[in-house]
Amino acid sequence: MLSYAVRRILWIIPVLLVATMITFLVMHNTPGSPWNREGRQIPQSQQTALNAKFGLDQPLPVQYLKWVGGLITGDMGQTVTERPYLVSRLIGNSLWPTVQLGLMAFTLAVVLGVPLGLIAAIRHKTLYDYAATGVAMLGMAAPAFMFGTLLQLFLGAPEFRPDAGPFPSFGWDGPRAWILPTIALAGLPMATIARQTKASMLDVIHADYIRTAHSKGLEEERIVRFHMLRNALVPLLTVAVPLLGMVITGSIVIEQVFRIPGLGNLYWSAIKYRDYTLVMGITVFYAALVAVLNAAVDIAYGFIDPRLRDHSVSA
Amino acid sequence: MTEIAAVGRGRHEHPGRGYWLAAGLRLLRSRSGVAGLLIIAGLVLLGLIGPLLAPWDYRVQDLQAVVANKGPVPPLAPGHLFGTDELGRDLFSRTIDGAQVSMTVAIIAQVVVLLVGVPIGAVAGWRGGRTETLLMRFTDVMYAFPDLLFVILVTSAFVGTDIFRWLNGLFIVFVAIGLSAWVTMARLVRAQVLNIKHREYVDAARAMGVPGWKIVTRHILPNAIGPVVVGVSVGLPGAIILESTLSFLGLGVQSPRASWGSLIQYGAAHMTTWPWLVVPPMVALAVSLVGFTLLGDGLRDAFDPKTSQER
Repeated sequence: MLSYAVRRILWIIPVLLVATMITFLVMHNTPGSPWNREGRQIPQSQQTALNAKFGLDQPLPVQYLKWVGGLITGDMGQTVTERPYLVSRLIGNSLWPTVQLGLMAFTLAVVLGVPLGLIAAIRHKTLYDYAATGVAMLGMAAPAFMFGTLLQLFLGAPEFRPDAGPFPSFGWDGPRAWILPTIALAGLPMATIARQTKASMLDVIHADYIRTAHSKGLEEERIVRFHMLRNALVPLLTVAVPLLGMVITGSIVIEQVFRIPGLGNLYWSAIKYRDYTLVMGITVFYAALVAVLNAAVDIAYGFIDPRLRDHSVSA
Repeated sequence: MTEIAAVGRGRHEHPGRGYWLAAGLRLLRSRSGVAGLLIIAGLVLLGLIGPLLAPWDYRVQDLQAVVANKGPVPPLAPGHLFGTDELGRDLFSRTIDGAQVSMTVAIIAQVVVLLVGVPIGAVAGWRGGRTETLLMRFTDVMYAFPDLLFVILVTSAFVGTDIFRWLNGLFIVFVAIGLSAWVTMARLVRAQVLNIKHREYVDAARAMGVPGWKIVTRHILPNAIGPVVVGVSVGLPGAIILESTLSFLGLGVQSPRASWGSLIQYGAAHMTTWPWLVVPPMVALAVSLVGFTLLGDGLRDAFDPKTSQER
């Protein structure tokens, strides 16, 4: 088991290498450059000097290896701008809103989704079930950007009309501004979790050991709590942890809708400004986050189901 | 020898009509399946014959009406059921064009997914050994690459180029979604092939000297069709969400073609002055996503009765 866990963790390294390599190739083959892009054109002579200063005149493999070398020593490099900033500092500055938004949305999704799924399964084919399933269906129907726009429309107050709604439409200043983006981002994962909870609870409800528990005369509450929930939570885990990764990367869209100064917005402007090192830095950060979460699920699963360990390091 | 062949053909060659019939009947018996089927059939029909139904061409600007109104025409005006945008383009017709865009993207993206994902998964599962290791490692790497990051990177890399403008941005959307979504299909197909390849009828075919590619295409893949159908049905709404999100962010379908995503973006930008603009595309998008989700649930129940939710 330990060797499986180690192998699975080591597997993160090639994943990150390939993800950054693809990003590197795509970025460097994108039309334009940091000095020659929409809204910013520097004369050719200065471009050559700047390229030399930032090492952009070297062959691509050399540039990539240098970047990887820096990363290994914990140096994410400098932004490719006339006045360079440390990439790590820029990421550090925008990290908190994204992480905070992601965690809050994920918590909300779990806190709402699991009970909804439980109600739908335990009160299967009753009005409660239909109501809970309907709420989950609403979550499936609204992509994050649309849900966010709707919330802004009905509950938001843009800067120029501060009394149009109870919550600010844009920004990330203070808890009142956090509410709408968090709800918007939580919608789809909430629905996914509710539907998964319902499905796995329904699987469990018909299991023999539940019938046995009933026939032994155990109280309903005890059966639900100790016999059903524990077993139903296992498949939920496989869905929930990758969802956390999706929620955190999904904030790229929500940060655009609500103009939140987070990592997603930084990624956005990095692409627009053709800031190669900044794009690479953010990509490796997101990819590492997702890779670690995936590894955690696999290892947790390896503990639960030994058959999975031997087949593949990452299946 | 001939007897074995006959038995093999009779029982195992492919799932046969009975399998499809049974699955189809199960689909028609589930309420959600029928509801989803009706919604999606309606939308596909709208995409196909929409241009005939639409009172206006999605590009035509009714400038007279805009001038007369000193702004976009509000809904329920004569000739413009849902009103128009600032340029006098009929919103009803543009929402219908959005249906065509969404259905096209959903279907073509899934075709790309099938064309890339099925062969890779099938070869990996069938060949095993080093081929499998190589293919699945690559798949795993792509699986770990955050989808949205990748799609935004690829599409924005092409902004302003001819490829980006090709088919009003539709082409780049196909590519981006296809490239990010094949991975799940490859993993699914490989798992199915691994599951099936040691069954007796596959051994029998191999013993009779049937070439590998023929065993895979004739005997294994047809038996893996159920999960693949379910996988596609989950991928369809995913593609629509991704397309509308990209178009909302300005990276997808380009004007004059309309996507529900870009229509919502336009409506949201003019929310305070002309709030009606945002309603039709939002309703259309929500209805289509509900339709696909219901259909997906129905198909899963129909092809995989064991995990049915409706017991």
